[in-house]
Amino acid sequence: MFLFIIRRMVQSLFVLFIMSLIVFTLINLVGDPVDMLVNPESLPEEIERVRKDFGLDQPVHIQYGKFLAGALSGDLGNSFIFGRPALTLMIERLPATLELATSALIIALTFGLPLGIYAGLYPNSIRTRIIMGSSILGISIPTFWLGLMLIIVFSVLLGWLPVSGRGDTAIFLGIESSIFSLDGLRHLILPATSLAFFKLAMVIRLARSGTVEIMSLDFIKFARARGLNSIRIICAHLLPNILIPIITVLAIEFGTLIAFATVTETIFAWPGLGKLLIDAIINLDRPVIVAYLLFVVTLFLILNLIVDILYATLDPRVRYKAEI
Amino acid sequence: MAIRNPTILTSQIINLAKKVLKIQSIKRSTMVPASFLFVIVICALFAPFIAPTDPYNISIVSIIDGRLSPGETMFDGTVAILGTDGAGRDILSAIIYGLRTSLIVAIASACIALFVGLTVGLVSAFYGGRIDAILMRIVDIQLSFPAILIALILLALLGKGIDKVIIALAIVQWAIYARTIRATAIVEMKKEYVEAAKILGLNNILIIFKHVLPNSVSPLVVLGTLQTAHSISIEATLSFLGVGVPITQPSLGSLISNGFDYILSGAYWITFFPGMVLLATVASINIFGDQLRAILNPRLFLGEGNFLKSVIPNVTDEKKNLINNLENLPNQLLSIKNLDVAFPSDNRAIFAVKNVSLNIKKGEVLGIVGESGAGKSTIGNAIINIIEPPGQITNGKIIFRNLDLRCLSQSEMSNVRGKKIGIIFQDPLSALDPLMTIGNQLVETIIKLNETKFVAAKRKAIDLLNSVGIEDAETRFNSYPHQFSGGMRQRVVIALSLAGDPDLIIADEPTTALDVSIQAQILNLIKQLCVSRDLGVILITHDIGAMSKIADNIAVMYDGEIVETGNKKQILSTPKHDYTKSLISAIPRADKKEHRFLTVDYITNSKQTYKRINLKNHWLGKTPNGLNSTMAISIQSLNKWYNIDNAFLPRHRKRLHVVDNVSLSIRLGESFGIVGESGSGKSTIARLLSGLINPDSGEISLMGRKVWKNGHKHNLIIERQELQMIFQDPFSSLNSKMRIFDIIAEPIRFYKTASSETEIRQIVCDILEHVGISKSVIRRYPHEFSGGQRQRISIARALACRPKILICDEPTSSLDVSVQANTLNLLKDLQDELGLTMLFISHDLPVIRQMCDRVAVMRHGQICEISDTESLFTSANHEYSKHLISLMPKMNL
Repeated sequence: MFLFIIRRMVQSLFVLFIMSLIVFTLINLVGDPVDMLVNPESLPEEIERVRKDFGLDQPVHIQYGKFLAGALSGDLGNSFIFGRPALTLMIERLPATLELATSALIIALTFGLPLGIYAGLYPNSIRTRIIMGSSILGISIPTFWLGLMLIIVFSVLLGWLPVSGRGDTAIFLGIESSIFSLDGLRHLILPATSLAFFKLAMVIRLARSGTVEIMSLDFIKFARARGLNSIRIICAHLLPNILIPIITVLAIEFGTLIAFATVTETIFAWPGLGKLLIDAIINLDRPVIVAYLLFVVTLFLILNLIVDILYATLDPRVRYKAEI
Repeated sequence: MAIRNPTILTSQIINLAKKVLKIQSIKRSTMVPASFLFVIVICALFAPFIAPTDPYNISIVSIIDGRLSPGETMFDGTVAILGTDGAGRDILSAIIYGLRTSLIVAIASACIALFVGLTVGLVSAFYGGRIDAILMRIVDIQLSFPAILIALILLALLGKGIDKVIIALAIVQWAIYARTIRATAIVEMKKEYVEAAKILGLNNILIIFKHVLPNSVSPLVVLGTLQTAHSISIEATLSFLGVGVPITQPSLGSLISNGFDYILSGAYWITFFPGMVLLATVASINIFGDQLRAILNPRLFLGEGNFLKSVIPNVTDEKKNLINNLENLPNQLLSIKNLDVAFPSDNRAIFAVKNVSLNIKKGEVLGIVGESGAGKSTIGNAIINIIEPPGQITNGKIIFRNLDLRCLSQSEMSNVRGKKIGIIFQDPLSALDPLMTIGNQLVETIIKLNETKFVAAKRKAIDLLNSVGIEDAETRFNSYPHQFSGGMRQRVVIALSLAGDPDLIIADEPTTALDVSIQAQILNLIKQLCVSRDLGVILITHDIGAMSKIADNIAVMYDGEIVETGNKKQILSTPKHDYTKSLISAIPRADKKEHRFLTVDYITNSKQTYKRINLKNHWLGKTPNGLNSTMAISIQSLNKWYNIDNAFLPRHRKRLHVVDNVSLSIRLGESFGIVGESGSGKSTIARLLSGLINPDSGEISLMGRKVWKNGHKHNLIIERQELQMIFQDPFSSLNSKMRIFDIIAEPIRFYKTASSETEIRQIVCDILEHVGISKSVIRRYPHEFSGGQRQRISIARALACRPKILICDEPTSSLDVSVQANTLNLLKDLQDELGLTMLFISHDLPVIRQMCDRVAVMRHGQICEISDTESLFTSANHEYSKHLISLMPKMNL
């Protein structure tokens, strides 16, 4: 098991290295950021000086070498726009995005799992039809439009919740988050809900199809034939068997949540990574784009690693293979 | 629900659609989204004609018309039905043009992605190995990043514009198409019809496009619709963020983005209407995709019922009292009277069980025997009421020790299950929860049934494991099901069924999934438990031979009815009913060789005679340039290893020696058998001979020509036609997308052995009639035939190559006994008429005795013994051969 983890980590580092190469090369092909920084009508010497200051006059591979050296010591360059280290900017914004994504995931799981399992167990009931109908709506609604509609209804028309922004934060168990304050919660509900909607529908559908598939398997039939009652069958036999595929999908989808947070953050003016990225793309703020990409790559590699480990822990068939 | 009262034109369209898609009926719930989508497509195609204005023509649009509410009139007199946006564009027109953009982007990117994904997926699946590994790694890496992120980054690099958006979306999507197609293709390529195509000698391109691709497409259809919906959503999101379609061009996303600025001032319509249309479009496509998935994959579309309840008949208290006053004979454990079980389907009910009456006493083993579809398993399910809805018991009494089981409520019945009546299913691997240790599964059952606590339950569990013959029960308590072998698992299942100390055990095909030697052990175990615990056992099986060892009484079933009951001796030696007689006569005899199996007329209605061909003059009899050689097949020192653990460093890899130094020769015209249990390597030899896999060392010669020597393959075109193979599974050995005419004509067309299409038609019809299938069905598809008929079609396909050597790899193991007899007769006849050399592979010794002149016994990849069939059965030399022969059921008492 230990060897298995080490092997996967080595593979991940290798992928990270390759991705950093790709990212850097691609970014350098696009446009000339000097135009962003300097008035194009300045004297050529001025432009050259700026170029030199930012190290943009060196050949690409030297730039990459410097970049790599810097990256390994935690310095990913300074943002062209803000003038501050890109990494610091990202770390500042990270908690807000994480908070949003985690809340959305929790909402999706808490409501989605029971609804989906119910729909799978009783395929013919009216409630199931309603659930499944809503789930189709859920995966079809564009996230950004949902956010806007929620604002219109709850903030403009009803006035119950604030329009945008992040609320006050409070510290609990060493973590600073806006979940722990009432004002923070009020600000968090709408963005988290709009982000969660799609995931919620997806969890419902996954749980339903998983339930239908597992309940028709022989071991459930045998469990019934042995005399076990329904509740025992659902909790002890159905649940573990559907959780494995659901968890693995969701772990990867957490990455999508972080990515989709971009949209939600734009609408709700939530001070997270997403807004940072969009602005960086529009303004060609290279260091920030590169830093974001590297961060995202690392995040996904970690997520994949966690998924593999989870799989090996939860499914004994995989676990024993990993130990050979 | 079918469509009611359609107009003539719509009904014609619907009928056409039904024919094209080959489905029974189109539900109303599909019609709604389909019509909406139709409207959208029309909008997209004819946008300039439908929209009231052209909202992106700068000369027309003017700011005077900005922010008009829905219904107000614009400056030039047109009514803005849905209002206008900040710049004065009519929202309705903007929506129509925006839909056009969305559709163009979605469909164009889907087409590109599909093309790239198909190519990559098929190449990856077909060539395997390193190419597959590299391609799939790339796919996996890409798929672990969310689509929107990749699209964002790509657009940051590529810039703005519709074409860039299309490219970005295509790059985002190709990976999922590639992975899906690869997964399906790999499954299809393992199926036997692809192997048959390879043995026929078709080239790779033909195999991919004619066989693999048509069968792999259905998941793509569903995926395509869902991906299209997803792309429309992503394009809208990108445009909303400002990085997608430029603001000067129509897009729903940028329209909504435009409206974002006006939310707080109350101009809701700019955001609301485009969003609703977007929602409706994506939702319709998703619903459509769902319906498609339901049609193509009926299992997930269960409309039929829920899993946790069975149908309980409504029995009044009066009836209950009546029944409780029945007389009961002292030893009678279970008494079934006049049982009917029906499965309603469409407008009528199919009776799986008709008027069945049975009795069983304590300490007695009752065997219920019948072929597939006879209804025997249904009886078992009916007793403890686990028939899957919509099936239900419509009539009859099931009296278990003075209690009519049909009168019990749901909770009373679940007290009977496990505690009074236990059941054993066929497949021990699927009967156990793979995620729970067997110990825990035992303990949970014991706790529920005996109401004990954990410690006592664990002790009892270990006792049970010991009593079913599992050694080392204490340690094995914590093992998982997959860590046991098949026979051990079945012992665990038996232990589970005994957990509540029941009085009756229903064993539903308990040994069908196991090897012959393990079968004997399990059956003996059941008998021993029956005697030691004074249980009643109902043994349900199709294998009379297996049953004859331990059953006391036998009931024979055919088509839902019991045709004969009696004690074992009487049924086996002097059967009364015609069906029983023909069933017993169809069983291959282990004690002597008969020239032909007696035909089982009762069932198969095989009185019709088909045209028999005079082979001397027929095309079938004219074989191409034959080399005169007395040796049809000659193998020298053949070896094959399989890697079972692909470690990075060679010294860590484990290998299994599946074929170990095998040498044998088969003479022309001879019938040679290879017998062994699973894992003995017999099927691998068949695959090595037919060229499906390559040996690691050794020589193979066919018809005197060296086909494989010193690691080199020689030209196989001629060999391909001379050697053909019949496979075990009749359901996967024919390409379900081809008509049987084309299946049989394929080799003739490929090798151009006939001169014209008419001649081909004549030959195919002749071959079909010769194997016993009427030529009127040549335009049908394989799924319309039964298992036995499909095997005949496979034989016909093999004959169309005019082979000299026929390899039969367990050709009748999946067939019912009576069908088996007919098929084996056919093979014998063909061998006599055409002088075929036959290599017959089987695990079933009596069949080998009937079919083969000489036989080789294999075990763990090695040949134990080669001898004449008769000598083997009368005086075998090798220990293992003697062991196998001793396991044969002896039915003649």
